[in-house]
Formats: sequence, C-alpha cells, structure tokens
Amino acid sequence: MASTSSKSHEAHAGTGVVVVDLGRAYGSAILFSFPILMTMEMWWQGFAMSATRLLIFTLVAIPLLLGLSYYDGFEDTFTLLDDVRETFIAYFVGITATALMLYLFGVLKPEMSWDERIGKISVQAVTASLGAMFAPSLLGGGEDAGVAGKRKRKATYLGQLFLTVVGALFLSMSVAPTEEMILIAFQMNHWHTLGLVVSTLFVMHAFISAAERKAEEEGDAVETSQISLFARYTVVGYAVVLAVSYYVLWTFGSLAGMEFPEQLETVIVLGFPAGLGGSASRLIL
Amino acid sequence: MATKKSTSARRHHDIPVWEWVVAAIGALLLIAVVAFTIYRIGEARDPAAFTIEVESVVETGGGYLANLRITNTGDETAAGLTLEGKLMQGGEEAETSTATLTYVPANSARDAAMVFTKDPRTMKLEIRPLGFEKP
Repeated sequence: MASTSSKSHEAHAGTGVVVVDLGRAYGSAILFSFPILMTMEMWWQGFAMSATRLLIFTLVAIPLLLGLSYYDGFEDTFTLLDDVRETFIAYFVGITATALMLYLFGVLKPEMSWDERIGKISVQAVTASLGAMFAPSLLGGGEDAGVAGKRKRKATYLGQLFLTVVGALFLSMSVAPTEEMILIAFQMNHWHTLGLVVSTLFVMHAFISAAERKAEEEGDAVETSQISLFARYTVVGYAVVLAVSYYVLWTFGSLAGMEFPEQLETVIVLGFPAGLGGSASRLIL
Repeated sequence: MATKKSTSARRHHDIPVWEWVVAAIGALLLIAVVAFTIYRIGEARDPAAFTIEVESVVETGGGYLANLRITNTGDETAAGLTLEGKLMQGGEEAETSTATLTYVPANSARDAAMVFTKDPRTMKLEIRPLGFEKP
C-alpha cells in the first residue's frame, strides 16, 4: 500500500474504474428514464410546468438521492459525506444524460429559449439521477460487498416507508404526465375504482410479504403475522403511495380544474403503478 | 446516516479525485438549475404575444408554400395556436389559408407553413393569430 509501485498500480486501475463506474451510472440513468425521455407530454412539461413546481420537484430530489445513496447507490457509503458526494455525482450523471438524449431525439432545438431548454432538461434530470443511483455497486467489492443491500433488508420502519416513497415516485413518474391517467379515470365506474384499490393492495401485500420472508430467511427480521404485515406495511404503504401519486399529479398539473372525486379517482389510477413501485422497492431497488 | 459502522478499507484518502471533481460539477449544475428556476419564479409574466415572419416561399406541386417562423415574445405558453393568412390584391381578399401550431412556448419560436394556390410573392400576405388555448 505504501510502496510507490503499488500506488502507481492503483492510480492506473483508477482510470479504468472511472470509465466503468460512470459508464454504469449513465447506463442505469438511461435505462430507468428512457420511457419518459421518449414521452412528449414530458417534453411539454418543460414549458408547461410552473417554475415553482419545478423548483419543489428539483429540491425534493436531493433528500431522495441522499437516502437512496444510503440504502442503495452505486457504491457502498459509510459517512454522510460519502452520500452527499454520491448524490451530486448522480445528479451530474442524470442531468448530462438527459441533455444528451433529449438533444439526440431532436427535442432541444436552437430556436428554443433557455427557459424552455433548461426546463425540459431539469424536469427529466430528477428521474435520470434517481436512475443513476440504482446502478449496482462496483467499487465497494470484497468483504464490504452488499453493505447497502444488507442495510436495505434491515431498514427501519421509517426507512422502509422511505423506500416506498422512492419506488412509488419512480414508477409513477413514467406514466403520470400522460393523458391516459385522466382518460382511464374517466373510463372507470365506481366498481372499477374499488376493484383497482383492492388489486393494488393485493399486489402490494404480495411484494411486501415476499420482501419480509427474504429478510426473515437472512435473519434480518423477526417473524411477523400476515395481518400485522398488512396493517403496518400494506395499508400504511398504500396511504404513502396515494400521497406520492397526488404530489406527482399536482407537479404535472394533471389535477388542475378537477373536482375532488375526479382527483381522487385519478390518484387511485396512478396509485396502481406507484403501489407496485413502492412495495417492490425493497426487493428490486 | 452519520453513525455508520466503518468496516470499510476505503477511507477518505482512498476516494479517487475524479469522484470529487464529478460531484463538484454535479453540485454546481444543481445549484445553477435551482437558481435559474428561482429567477424564473420572480420573472414578470407578460401574456403570449406573437411575431410572425415569412421566411421563404416555395413553389410545390399543389401550389405555394409560405414558410413561417412564429415567435412568442410573451412569458406564457400558447397551445393550439391558429393562424390565418390572407393574400391581398388591390385591397381585395384573393385567398385565405390557415395553420395550427400545437405549442408555441414562452420566449420560443416554432416553424409552420401555409399553403396557397396563388403566388404569395406577387401579393401582400397578411398573417394574424386567431386564438389559442392556455395550457
């Protein structure tokens, strides 16, 4: 370690690591955000979304990225500073990947104002930077491998609700700005709505008990009854998911001019993908 | 978050410089986006207003194509903007045509074209916006 030869060897390996790690982060950012990068309603958000909502959306991304870095992230982190650094790296990767892809898709044009261009890029940079954060660890190999994974399984109750928020936000983002959310809500009658609520709860519970069983097998959790799981995780998780759905729809201005019953129906519609993402996050992310 | 068990062989001095550099650029970009967005919140908001320029006229099989550039000089976006173009000859209306633009965002320009059967180069072409939706 102290000898000059091993240091130069490390430095040499460092260059390769940069390419591999950043490449991985870029790949992950694009993999997770290409559906919305290729959605025109998302491009329109660049000029349709009010600056206030865009600001809140960007600021919301920071604590989400910090938390994700702790539970997941592209390398194992041990101090708050590590998480802060990873957050900014993820944002860098997210915003540059978005700018590049939108440019390549011909979305960004020279006759557009900077308001419009920066709006279009910064809206999508949030999802892309979350995507970058999902890139699996490479640097923290050896005996430290999987610190984040272990942490995820052992996550506290609040930690699990946090992962629910991230998963719900992430999966709902890809469909939330589309016209179909409102259209589906209009197409559904009350029985359909009720059925969708029950289905969402059912699927969420399936994911949650699968994650719980995995944690129990690895000795990271004590055995819990299904009813307790349902009450503490599925029902509370669904409430969190609906709140996230409402926030996302509000951000995209989809609820504007709607009465409360129609708003609730649309929130329930978006709550389906959000619920899938929220409950599967502990297993997948 | 700060009370993590330090089981790592990687300490601070082991973290490659590039990570700090990339993180610093990322932080700057984030601050720039936030600052720009805050600046936009404070901006005065003028309603959508349009300047329409005829960029060129091309003869096509079906007639004449007047290529237009529409610039929205206001701070509000216009959706479904309809334009009406009249060819005037000696004070008389010789031909009318329309064009619709899906979006003309604030402070941005969009291109469109109008089709005429008569040559707009030989007459006076008057184009005006008819109406739009506020998205």
